[in-house]
Amino acid sequence: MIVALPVLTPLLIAALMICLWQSPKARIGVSILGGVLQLVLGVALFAQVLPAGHLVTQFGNWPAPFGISFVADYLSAGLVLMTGVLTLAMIVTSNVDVDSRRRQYGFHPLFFVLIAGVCGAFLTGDLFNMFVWFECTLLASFVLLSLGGEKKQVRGGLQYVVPNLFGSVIFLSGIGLLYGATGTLNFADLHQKASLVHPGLLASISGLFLVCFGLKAAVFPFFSWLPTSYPTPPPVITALFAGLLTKVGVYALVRTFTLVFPMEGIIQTVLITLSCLTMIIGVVAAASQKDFKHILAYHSMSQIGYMTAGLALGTKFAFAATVLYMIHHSLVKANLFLIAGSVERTSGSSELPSLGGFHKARPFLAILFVLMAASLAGLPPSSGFWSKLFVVQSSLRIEQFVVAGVMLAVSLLTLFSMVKVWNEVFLKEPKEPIPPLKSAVDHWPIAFVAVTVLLFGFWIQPFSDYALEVGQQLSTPQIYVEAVLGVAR
Amino acid sequence: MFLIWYLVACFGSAIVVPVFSNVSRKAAAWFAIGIAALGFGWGVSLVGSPVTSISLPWLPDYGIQFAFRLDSYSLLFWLLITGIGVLVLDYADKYMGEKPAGRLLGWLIAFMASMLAVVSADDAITLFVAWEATSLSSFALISIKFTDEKSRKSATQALLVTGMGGLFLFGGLLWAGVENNTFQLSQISSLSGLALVLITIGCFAKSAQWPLHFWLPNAMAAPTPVSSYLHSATMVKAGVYLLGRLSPVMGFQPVIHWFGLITAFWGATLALGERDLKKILAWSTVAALGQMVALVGLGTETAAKAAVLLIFAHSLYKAALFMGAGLIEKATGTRDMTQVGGLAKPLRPLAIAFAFAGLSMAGFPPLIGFVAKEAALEAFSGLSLAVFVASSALGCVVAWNVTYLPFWRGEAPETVQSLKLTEWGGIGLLSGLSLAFGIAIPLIGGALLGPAASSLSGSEIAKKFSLWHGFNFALLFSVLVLVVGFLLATQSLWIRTTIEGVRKRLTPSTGWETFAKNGLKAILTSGWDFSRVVIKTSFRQHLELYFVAFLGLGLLIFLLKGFPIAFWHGPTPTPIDVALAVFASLAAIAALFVPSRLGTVTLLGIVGVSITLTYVKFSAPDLGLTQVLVETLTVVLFVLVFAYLPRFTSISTKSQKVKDLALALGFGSMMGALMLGVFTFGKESTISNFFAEQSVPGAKGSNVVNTIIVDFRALDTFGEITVLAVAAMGVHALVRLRLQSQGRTG
Repeated sequence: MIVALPVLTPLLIAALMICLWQSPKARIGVSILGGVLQLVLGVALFAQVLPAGHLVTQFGNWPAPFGISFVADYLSAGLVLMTGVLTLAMIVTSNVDVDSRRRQYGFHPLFFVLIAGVCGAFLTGDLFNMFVWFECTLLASFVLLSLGGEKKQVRGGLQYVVPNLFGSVIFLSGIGLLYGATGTLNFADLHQKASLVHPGLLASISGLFLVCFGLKAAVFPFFSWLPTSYPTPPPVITALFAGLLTKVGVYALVRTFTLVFPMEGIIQTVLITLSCLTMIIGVVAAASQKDFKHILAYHSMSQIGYMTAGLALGTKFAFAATVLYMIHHSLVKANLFLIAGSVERTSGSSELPSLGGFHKARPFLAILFVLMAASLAGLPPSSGFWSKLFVVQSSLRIEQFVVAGVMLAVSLLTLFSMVKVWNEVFLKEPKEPIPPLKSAVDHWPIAFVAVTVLLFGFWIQPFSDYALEVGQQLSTPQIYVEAVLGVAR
Repeated sequence: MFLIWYLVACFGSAIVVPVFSNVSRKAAAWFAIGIAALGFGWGVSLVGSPVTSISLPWLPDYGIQFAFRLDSYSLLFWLLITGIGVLVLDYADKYMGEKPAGRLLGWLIAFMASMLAVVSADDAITLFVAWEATSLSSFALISIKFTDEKSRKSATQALLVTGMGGLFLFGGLLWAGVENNTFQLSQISSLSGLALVLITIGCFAKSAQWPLHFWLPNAMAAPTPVSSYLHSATMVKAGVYLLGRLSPVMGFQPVIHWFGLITAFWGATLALGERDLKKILAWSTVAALGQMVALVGLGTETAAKAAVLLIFAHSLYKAALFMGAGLIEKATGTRDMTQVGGLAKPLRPLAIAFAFAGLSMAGFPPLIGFVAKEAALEAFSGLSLAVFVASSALGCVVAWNVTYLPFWRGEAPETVQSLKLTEWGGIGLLSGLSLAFGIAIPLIGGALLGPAASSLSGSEIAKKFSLWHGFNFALLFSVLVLVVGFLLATQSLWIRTTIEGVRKRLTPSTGWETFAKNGLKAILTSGWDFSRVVIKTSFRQHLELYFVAFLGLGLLIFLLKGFPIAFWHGPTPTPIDVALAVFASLAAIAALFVPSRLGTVTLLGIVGVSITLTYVKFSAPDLGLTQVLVETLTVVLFVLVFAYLPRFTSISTKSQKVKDLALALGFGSMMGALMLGVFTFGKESTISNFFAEQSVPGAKGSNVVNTIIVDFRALDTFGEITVLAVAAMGVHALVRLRLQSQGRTG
């Protein structure tokens, strides 16, 4: 039952929020309660999965593969826990960042539906059900994105939703074709039946999934929706998106290409190539931007390349690296957007030329930024350093020198753009004096996420142990299949 | 274990000192100096004792340890870093005068600790962590006057160059680790070409070897204490250190050797063309580093001995000269050596200290610099010897320029105040040591330098260290260097103006710095242009790209993987099927070209109806019913909102329409092919049978579609309902929030 709670609870909270449409004070209270609950549930689920390996719930008690299964393995549980951390940080920040007008028009319920959709996608063991959670996430994020109806938001919203709907169409077509070819939708069952399908046909169908999940993850050339839409809404919404949405795409790629489709041959080559292009193009564009949020948005795209490359390499160590990278990047990037948000709230802009002086005016924020930026650039000993180390090492292990080289070169430009932000936003003399901090709530959530990231960096052992366990599980899908379908089958 | 606790204490005090400094400036400074002195004392106590090593598990699964190993070679660096560290911290405290010094002292200690970790690490990852920490703390130190744009720029440049080097090093170390199956430096037994090249590039960037040398003189924007510590005595030697550490594994490396020689010659030449004392010293540091790298690249025992001597001698005299340059600037307000002169009168002690340091730099007996130069002359032969002699002769000129011209020529201005002992004491000590160690070379050689050279070369070196080697070639060349150097020195003014003239003509259009800058600029411009295109184009064009990419990928898979499509082998299509298909297709194509909105909607309606009828034909009444409702509603809604829409205009050109048509056809064909494939190879679903069987007994409903929706897969329905609720909220918010904002503005 615990497996379904991270999805059902936020939905319940969302419903409650709709009932509280007229009482803004109560909504804030309930929202913080919801954030705490999400984190608690994440921890609880993780603690239960840790000894068991897999936890499975069959909805309506219909046996798999006939009903819908929810499966929490190490990967899913870890991502749900990460979602919990971010949920709490974001919901607290949203109370200072999102204006009352937006809160009045359903920010809170939408937020929790989004969280439910993300967790649903992480936990479901059924391909079509995953599509449903994807739609949930997509629509909630679209409305959040355009909530407020500013002109740039509506434009950004369209840039976001139309390409994503294209992705959904491909996803749905893929599901139809795969169901036609295998006659099942359950991941575990698909694992068994997919091997019986003609390899050429299976590869073609897997191409559809590569495209639609690649689009959700913003892999080149399916990336344009990300940099055009991310900088438009209030920063906390962007932070939420940057932390979670693209990761759902990466997760779906990992899930399907370890469990259902073989990662080999042309598909592998294509994914490796696209990953490298994503890294390079993203970082080159990021380094050239002149706006804090735009820099971060393009980095989101660039960093996705590391994760998909890890998946494409296809070894146990590479999977472990991918998972570490996902968790690291979610936390760090979301936090950087929160910092950008705090800067924007103070100065009224996120354009580098008009900023400056935050080192003196906000020393605590400066320290937090340095920690996060160093982590994003992969400087030791941060979460980003370890993630980079593992992913580069696993590509060297199988002698993929070009991939390793690209990863290292890209991190130099990442460092460059972080130094650029540091110089322009923090060190440079400000044009106008910076007003004193209004409320300390501004920095708490950032510090909270930063502590998690620091823990990751300085006490890497448990994280790497966990990641290796995930790698082990992903490279031996039989265990997953047995856990879902039962050993006897 | 002391080592680790000491490093932790250092990093701790790097945080404590700046905070504490606000309370008591003096006590904080003494505390900082005390910390460094403690490390120095511990190092001295280790002289002559066997190798100290400690290792803590870090990531056993990956073979990564938190490991340190302090052999004689590392100990030499340890002593230099902590010893000069004590003097620099003291100097920095006085240098800042009345200004707050906490941040500077804190970062200096952090830097010292990182550097100590670099030279004592025995694990490649530990080493790399420390290596990057030196880069980061040097960024902070160079940009310590961060409101000054020039400091920021130089700091960024230094960070990028050393950061780039760091990444090469990282790649090299990782590859070496994968190859050797260990990250323990003392266990690495072989280095492949790739690993060696990568590590070498990393070391070159750190140690400012040509062509990655340009960042070092720019880093002189830092306050003088920083320059004298980082850019002479310690950080820039990290690359030399690591190359030396790996020397037993790599042996003779002609490429490294020659890059070192080029750097030595080039650095010395450029030093002659500068007026700024700090820049002169910076270029001469580049030259000295080049000589060290050249020696390490040789890999012989004599070279190892010479390298160790040179490292030792250079640290002593160069730190003294840098700190002295700072004092000159303080006293006269300028570092331009053409602006000052005759300082020997008011600054007598400094002039004498400078003279000794300069003599050591020029390689004059009996200073330690002489011993080092002798040893190096013995190690080289042939063409490398010639280059070395030339660069050393130029080095003599540099020494002359720095130590003679500002002090002993011309008249000093009246305003120059004499210095207190506490100010020049450190410099005097270093210069005195240059002399003392030169004379007592057998002593220091036996205790410290000999063992260090042995562990550098990887084999026991029997040769004694002595000041006097008898009459031999090395002595001859030594004299030659000094004579040529002196002769050139008399012409130093002419040399400088010539080099200045040549450089003025060459830069900024040539040179490695410009090359790197232009490269970065090109990357940034292309990135910016690219992002402009992304922003400026509409999602319609993005979608086109997505479609093309999708079709391209599909085609690629078809071509490479291929699957034989057996054409339709089911029941033959009836005329009605064919008619419906043709009907739908024709309506869809016509919709592209109809010039009115109503026409388009009607045609789309026809497409919908055809699809509905197809569902009905293939006995899926539920689907047909749903589809007909959807189609009808869509058309009705369309017609309802017609009145509110702008006039119908055709925004697509003809070629655009043709492109759309091609994409649509491509997409359709691909889906069609896939469908055929699925029909050909697909399996009968076991699940639908289960649903059919269980519908009545299990789900208590006789309509299987209903039971699927509300029971078997109720969760999907629940999710979809949520989606609808969200959509409703979205529409509500979009309409109302916009109305409000319009109401407010209008």
